[in-house]
Amino acid sequence: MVPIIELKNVSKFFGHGKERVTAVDSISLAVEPGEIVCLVGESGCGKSTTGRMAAGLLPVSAGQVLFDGKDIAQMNRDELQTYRRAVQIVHQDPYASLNPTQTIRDIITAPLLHHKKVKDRTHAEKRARELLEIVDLTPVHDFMDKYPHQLSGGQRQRVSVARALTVEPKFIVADEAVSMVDVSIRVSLLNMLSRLKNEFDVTFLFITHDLALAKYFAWQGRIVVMYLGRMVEEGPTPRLITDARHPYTQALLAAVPEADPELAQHKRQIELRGAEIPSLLHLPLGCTFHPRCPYIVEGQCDVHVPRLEAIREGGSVACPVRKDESIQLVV
Amino acid sequence: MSKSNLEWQQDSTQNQKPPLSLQNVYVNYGTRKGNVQAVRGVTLDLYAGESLALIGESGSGKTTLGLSIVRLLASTAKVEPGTIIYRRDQREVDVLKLSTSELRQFRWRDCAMVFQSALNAFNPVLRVWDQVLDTAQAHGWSDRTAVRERFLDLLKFVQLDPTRVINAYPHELSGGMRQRTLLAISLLLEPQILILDEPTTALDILTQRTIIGLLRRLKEEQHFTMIFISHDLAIAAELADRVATMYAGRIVEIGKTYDLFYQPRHPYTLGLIRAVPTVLGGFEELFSIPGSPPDLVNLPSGCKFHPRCSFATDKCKQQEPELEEVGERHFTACWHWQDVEKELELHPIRRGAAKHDALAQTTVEVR
Amino acid sequence: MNTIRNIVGWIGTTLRLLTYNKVGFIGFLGVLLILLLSFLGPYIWPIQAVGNTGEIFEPPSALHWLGTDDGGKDNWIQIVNGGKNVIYASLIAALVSTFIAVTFGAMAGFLGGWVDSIVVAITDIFLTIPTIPLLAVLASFITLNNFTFLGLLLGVLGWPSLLRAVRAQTFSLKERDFVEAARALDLGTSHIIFKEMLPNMMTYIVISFALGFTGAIYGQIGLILLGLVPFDSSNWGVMISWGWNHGALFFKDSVWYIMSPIVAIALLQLSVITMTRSLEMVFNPRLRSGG
Ligand SMILES: Nc1ncnc2c1ncn2[C@@H]1O[C@H](COP(=O)(O)OP(=O)(O)OP(=O)(O)O)[C@@H](O)[C@H]1O
Ligand SMILES: Nc1ncnc2c1ncn2[C@@H]1O[C@H](COP(=O)(O)OP(=O)(O)OP(=O)(O)O)[C@@H](O)[C@H]1O
Ligand code: SF4
Ligand SMILES: [Mg+2]
Ligand SMILES: [Mg+2]
Repeated sequence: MVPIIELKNVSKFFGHGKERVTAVDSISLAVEPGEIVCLVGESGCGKSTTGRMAAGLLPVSAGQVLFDGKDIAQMNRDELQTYRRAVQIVHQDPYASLNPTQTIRDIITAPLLHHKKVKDRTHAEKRARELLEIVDLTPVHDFMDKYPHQLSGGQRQRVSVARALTVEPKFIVADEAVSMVDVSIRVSLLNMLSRLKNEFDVTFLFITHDLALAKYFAWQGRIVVMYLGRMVEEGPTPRLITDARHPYTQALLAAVPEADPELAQHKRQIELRGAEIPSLLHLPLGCTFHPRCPYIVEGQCDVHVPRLEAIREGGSVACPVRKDESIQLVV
Repeated sequence: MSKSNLEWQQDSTQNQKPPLSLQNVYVNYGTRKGNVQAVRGVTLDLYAGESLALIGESGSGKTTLGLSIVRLLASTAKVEPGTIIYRRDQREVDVLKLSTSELRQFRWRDCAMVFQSALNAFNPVLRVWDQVLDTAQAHGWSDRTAVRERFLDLLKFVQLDPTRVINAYPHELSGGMRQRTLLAISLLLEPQILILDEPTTALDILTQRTIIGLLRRLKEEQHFTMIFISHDLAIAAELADRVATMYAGRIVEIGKTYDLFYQPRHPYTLGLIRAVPTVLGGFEELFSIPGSPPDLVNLPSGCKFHPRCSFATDKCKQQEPELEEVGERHFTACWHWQDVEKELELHPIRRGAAKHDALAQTTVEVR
Repeated sequence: MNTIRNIVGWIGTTLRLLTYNKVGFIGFLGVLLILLLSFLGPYIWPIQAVGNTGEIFEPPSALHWLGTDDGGKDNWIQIVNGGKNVIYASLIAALVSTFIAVTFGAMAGFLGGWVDSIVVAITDIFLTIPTIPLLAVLASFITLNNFTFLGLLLGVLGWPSLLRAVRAQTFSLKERDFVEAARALDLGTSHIIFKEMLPNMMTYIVISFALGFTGAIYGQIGLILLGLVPFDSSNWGVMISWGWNHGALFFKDSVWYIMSPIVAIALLQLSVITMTRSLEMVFNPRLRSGG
């Protein structure tokens, strides 16, 4: 199958000269239609930047973004337009992602009318109601005339999703789409997104810093772990969670606080050599994790940039030292 | 670490009276939209040497309750009725009746609070050391070298580079470093009780782990008496001896951590636990709680959870349940806790217990 | 039919929103009253060509509400007739400066790059132009007795600081998630500027417009006091200037004459500024409680 979105050696630099930072460093990632790919990593590792480049909202500094096998830099006007509409984004902050001066009706009908998805206002209204129903904002008539500030965080996120659906997208970048929503309603949001995937053939790039959420949402899919702008490990979710190989992935998995006393008691702790995350301005040579890595091999890790290598159990790992070593995280 | 230099006079003798007892505490905020009933009749004993977690969704009144204990509420807040009894060395006071100067003593020496947002707790134009000195001097501790020595030790205890941090301005420290510095400052005057509001929220995972590790040491090695406030169930699971669930300003369930996580009796606690995934607990089905959190100005009638509760009956709509003993030191405010018990017999929560077979299965599946 | 109903509905809603804030609504009424008096009042109280020399410096009475001046002319009539030109010129000035600032500020902020550089450079040049000396020089070439022209002139000189603010706001709005979402939805540049960004700046623009308006009033008074605008008509500025030059400050008698325009201007300013509170309510849905 042709990947719906493919990143080929994509990099992003911000700033110039001495201030230049490499926010994303040569990432290659292909997302098949219908697949769920989850991007995880700590704050500032470049998840959002990657997602925005995939959605065409941020130009790449190097590399290519392919949509349906075609380089978006080579696209003509029509193709570019198709790509634009086929790829949507749902943001993290439910307070910032909706225009405070527009009612929900305005927000949903504007794209419908602009792209002539409907004949006229009456049909736009009708379609808007359908969309709100799809995202479970019922009873719909309670919501149409509300302003965003009159909705709760979870409801706002649903409006964001409904707005994205107006253009019948094929690919949605969900950037921390549920992170700021109360735990009790998070799951229903996630389930709603899963339903879209099945019913509307939407492919998801799900970005989160929460490994537990990634595990839940992408259980059938893949997780990609990023550290300081690079991909360090990638693989089918069950493998990545139960049999992580990269020392950073292992450290993350071991560190996540568990909402279960039994697990919390029995989790193995991995001691890192350093606590500080290096600045993007002064990235370590070789493997960027080497200053903190407990398994460092001097002369190798601090010199050569490790490449992602496929492993037999599925996915790939950017650590030649540990890629074949399993460890038990629950003891 | 040179924790040998740090001495805390913590009493872990069990048959003592609890150092902190809240009796029927109410807190209201007067706002333009009306009266926000943030805390409604909380009764709670905190025992010496225990760590208690207050969990609940955003807006359930956790921070307000914490602030009312150290009397740092906004001026629009009214704490009434209720008593907050604090006990130390035979002394017994009602915190709500303390004078301003007594309060100042109480706040850092007896009961210290680490605030939700670590950045705002610092004065941005003062170096860390100046703020520490100010705090110490405000409490009549003017021996600079002694303060400095103790603070350096505390910084080592929280695993920071003492000489670097002590001369730094707050903005020069990362979020995790600020949180740890704040923890060190709060320990400066050897408080008997430590209240931590969202100690790990908004920190990166590895930093969260460092903080959890530190708090564990405080708990296990020093037997500190602590209250953790968090919307994150994981903090409770990782650190607490006892957990209290808050909903709409009330404690709706309180009990030992294992009981609360595996034998919850309140539908809301059950709902929360079933809504939160673990990482290493295998694949679990999750359920959300329908509806949204209540409006604290216009609270629903009866049990405040009834509009979202799958166990609710007409009785729940009319009468608000009080805390009731449902097990050993386990209390729940729900008319139908027995139904919850039955439901759990049918569908038990076996996450932690299930971990080994679940993990084994998934690995097989993948290959 | 439908459009008419829509317009009526819109006016109704706007009026209702205006009443939300009591103080603001009083300001709104104040502005309305002053405008009515200044533009319709002259038909009721036409200007007197000559005064009654028998009634010099009279204090207020039932006949002369605000007393009389040194020529025996009625102060109230002068106030009613003296607002029109000042208000008219100030409105033009505020419109022109707001228009320039919003159009080019938003353009510079939104497009960035070389457009931004050019706009910023021009703004900086205008900011360094000393307004009063420039007007003084201009006044020696052209007579500034046309109020449309005077308003245009003040407007053309008054936009730089507002432009900078609009540009900064546009920059920050451009980065907001909802604007990015609109870009992802491919809604087009004009939708983004007019539907997404401008409504979020409206409050600010309205306040700036009000400030521009009051600023232009002061500007005119200043010009009149400096003698850069000839006295060939009677207006509030001329009244102040006249009173000033005739030592009104030292004669207790003429206090009514000089205080009348000062109070009129102060009232107008106050009304305009408080009115913006109500206008905020119209443009910012978040301020409306309840609903
Ligand atoms: N417009 C920008 N200009 C300069 N630097 C930027 C810009 N956007 C992002 N960065 C930097 O790039 C790096 C990666 O940022 P990014 O937002 O992609 O991280 P993230 O993984 O999404 O983090 P978070 O979890 O905090 O959202 C960060 O160091 C950030 O400061
Ligand atoms: N100063 C204040 N004035 C008015 N209302 C307030 C004030 N502080 C808090 N509240 C309200 O009181 C309620 C309880 O707030 P509180 O901060 O105690 O909740 P919380 O459980 O700590 O939530 P979070 O998880 O968001 O920190 C909320 O509805 C909040 O809006
Ligand atoms: S009292 Fe009723 S509504 Fe409240 S939690 Fe129990 S069953 Fe649900
Ligand atoms: Mg991000
Ligand atoms: Mg709080």
